Amino acid sequence: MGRPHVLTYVALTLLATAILAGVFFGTAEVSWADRWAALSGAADAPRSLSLIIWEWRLPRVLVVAVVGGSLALAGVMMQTVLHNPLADPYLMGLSSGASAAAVGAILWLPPWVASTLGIPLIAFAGAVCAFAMTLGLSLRRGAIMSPLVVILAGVAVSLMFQSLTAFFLYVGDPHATRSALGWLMGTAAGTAWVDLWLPLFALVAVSGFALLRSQSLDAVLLGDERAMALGIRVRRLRLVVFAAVALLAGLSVATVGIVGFVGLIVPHMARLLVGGRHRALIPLSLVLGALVLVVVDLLCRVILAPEELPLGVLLAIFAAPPFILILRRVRHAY
Amino acid sequence: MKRPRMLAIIPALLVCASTAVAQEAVVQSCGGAFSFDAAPERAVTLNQQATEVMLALGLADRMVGTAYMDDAILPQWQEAYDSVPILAEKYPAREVVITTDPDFLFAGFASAFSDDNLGAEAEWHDLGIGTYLVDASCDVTNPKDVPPGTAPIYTDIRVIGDIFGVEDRAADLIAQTQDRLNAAASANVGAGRTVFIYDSGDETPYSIGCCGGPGVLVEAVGLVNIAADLEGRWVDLAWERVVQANPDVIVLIEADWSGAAEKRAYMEADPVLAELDAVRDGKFMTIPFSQTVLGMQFADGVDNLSAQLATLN
Repeated sequence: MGRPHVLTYVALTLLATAILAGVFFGTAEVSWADRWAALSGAADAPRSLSLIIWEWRLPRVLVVAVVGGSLALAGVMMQTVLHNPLADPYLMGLSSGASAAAVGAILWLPPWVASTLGIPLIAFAGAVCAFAMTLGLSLRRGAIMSPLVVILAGVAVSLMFQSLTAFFLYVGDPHATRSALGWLMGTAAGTAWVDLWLPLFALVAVSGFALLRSQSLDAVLLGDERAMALGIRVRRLRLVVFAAVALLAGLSVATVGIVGFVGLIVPHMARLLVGGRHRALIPLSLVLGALVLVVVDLLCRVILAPEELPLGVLLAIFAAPPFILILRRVRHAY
Repeated sequence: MKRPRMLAIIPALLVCASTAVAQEAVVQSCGGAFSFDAAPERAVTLNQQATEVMLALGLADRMVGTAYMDDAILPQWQEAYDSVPILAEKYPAREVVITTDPDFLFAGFASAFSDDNLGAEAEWHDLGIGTYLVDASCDVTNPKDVPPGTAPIYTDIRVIGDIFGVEDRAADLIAQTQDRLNAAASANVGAGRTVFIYDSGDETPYSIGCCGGPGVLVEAVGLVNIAADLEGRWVDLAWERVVQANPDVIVLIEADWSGAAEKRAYMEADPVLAELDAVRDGKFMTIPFSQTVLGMQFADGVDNLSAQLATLN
C-alpha cells in the first residue's frame, strides 16, 4: 500500500495549500501585510478583512472542500455498485429533483416560505423525493432490480424533473429566474459556518462506512454473482449505498447547488492513479474531489473580480485538462 | 435594459413641420430605419415603460392593447390604462398580437422582439406594422458599456411624439421632465457620497455597473455608485467588494421578485455586512424598480431618492 498512501499525502498537502490560498485570495484587493495580520488574528488587522476571512472565506472554502469530497466519494460508490463507469451521484435524479424544488420555490412560493424553510431544505426535500421515486421504480417485490433498471429509472425521473425546471424557468419572471439560474450552475457564494456542520458530519459518517466495507465494495466489482458467492449481501449493500449517496449528494446540492464533473470524473482520476481497490481509492478520491472544487471555487472568485462566476462555468474547463493528462499517462488502469 | 435611439428623422420633418402634418416620419428603432406614412391608430404596447410613454402623451385612444406590467400603473394613468385591453400578463403570443389588428408595436425591452417572443422588428414592418423599441433598451444605440445618461428618456418621448403627430405634447413633457432633473442635479443632495445599489440575489448581490438605469438614477441626485467602474448594466458584484468599498448609503430596489425588506434583513443578519457603517447606521433607501427604469417614472424616482436622502441627512 506504499504508493497509494504517498499519493494521498501529496494530494492532502496540495489540498491544504489550496485551502490556504482560498482563504488568502478573493474578490477584495488587500495587501499581503493585512492578509497575514487578519489570518493570524493580529490586533492591528483591518476589521473588515478579518471578518471577510473568518466569516466568509474560511467557511466557504471548507464547505467547498466537504462538498467536493462528498461528491467524489458518492461517485466512487455509485460507479462500483452499479458496475457503470458513467454513473455519478446525481444518477438517481437527485440534482434534478433538488433543482426543480428549489427553482419552483424561488420563482413561485411567497418569499416568506422560502425564507422560513430555507431554499436548501426545500432542495434537499426535492432530492429525497426524486430519489424515492427512482428507488420505487427500481424495486420489485422488495428487491432492487438490476443496475440497468436503476439507471433507466433514474434517467426517466431526472428528465421529468428537468422538464419541470425548464417549465418553471420559462414561465417565471425573468428578473427572478436569474437567482434560480445561479443556483442551477452551482455557487459556493454566501456559505457560512452553519452550512458546514451537517455535510461534514454526513461525509465523516459515510466515509467511515465506506472504508469499513471497502472489501465488500471490492467484491462487488467482480460482479453480483461472485460477490454473493463470497458471502456479500449485494442487494442490501446496494440499498445502503444508494441511501448514503442520496444523503451526500442531496446535502451537497442543497448547500452549493448543482456541481457536475466532480462526482463523475474525480473517481476515475483517482482510479487511474491508485487502481480500483477501495481502501486506497476512497481516501484519494475524497481528497482529490475536495482539491478540485477548492481550486475551481478560488478561480471563480478571482478571474472576474470583483464579479463572481458560478462553479459550473469553470469546473469542466479547468478540471478536465488534468484528467485528460492523467488519462493519457496512465492508460494501463483500463 | 437597453435603449434604442432615434434618429428621428430629420429631413422629413423639415418638410412636414411647416404643414403641421408631421405624421410622415422615418424613425430609427434600434438599428433599423422604418418609415411611417401615417400616424398609427391601433398601437400595442409590450412593456410597462412603453405603455407609460403612450399614456403620458395622452395616446390611450390610439391603443388597442397593453402587456407585461412590472408593477401597478400609477393613479394618474389608471383611468386611461383601464380603457385599453390587457393582452397578456407577460409578452402576448404573436397570434394574440396579430388578432388585435395592430399598426404599431412599442416595446420596452429588446426581449420583446426576440425570436421566442414576438420576432424581429423587420418582420413586423414587412407586414406593414410599425415598431419601436425604447432607446435605453437598444444595444446598438446604447452599448452596454457606455453610460446612457438621461438622454434616452427624451429620445423616446420625442420619437413617439413624431410618430403619432403630437409633437407639442412631447415637447411639453420633455421640458417638464428636464426641469425636474435639472432641479435635482443642482440640489445635489447626494453630495458625492458613495452608494451600493442592491437589486436582488443574496449569495452574490446583483448590482448595477456603469450603465444601468438605477446607476443613472443615483448619479442624478449626486451619489457615486461603488460599481460604476464595472462594464455592463447589471453586474454580479461580490460581497467582498461591497465590504471593501464601505459605501455611505445603500439603495434597495423594491420589486415583486425581490423585496427591499428581505434584502435589508439579509444584510443585517450577515456577520460581516452587519458591521458596515451604512448598515449599522440604517442608511437604507428604497426605490421601486419601475422608478429606476429610464422612462416616465424616472423623474419620480429622482424626487423620491432626493427626499429619502434628505431624511437620512
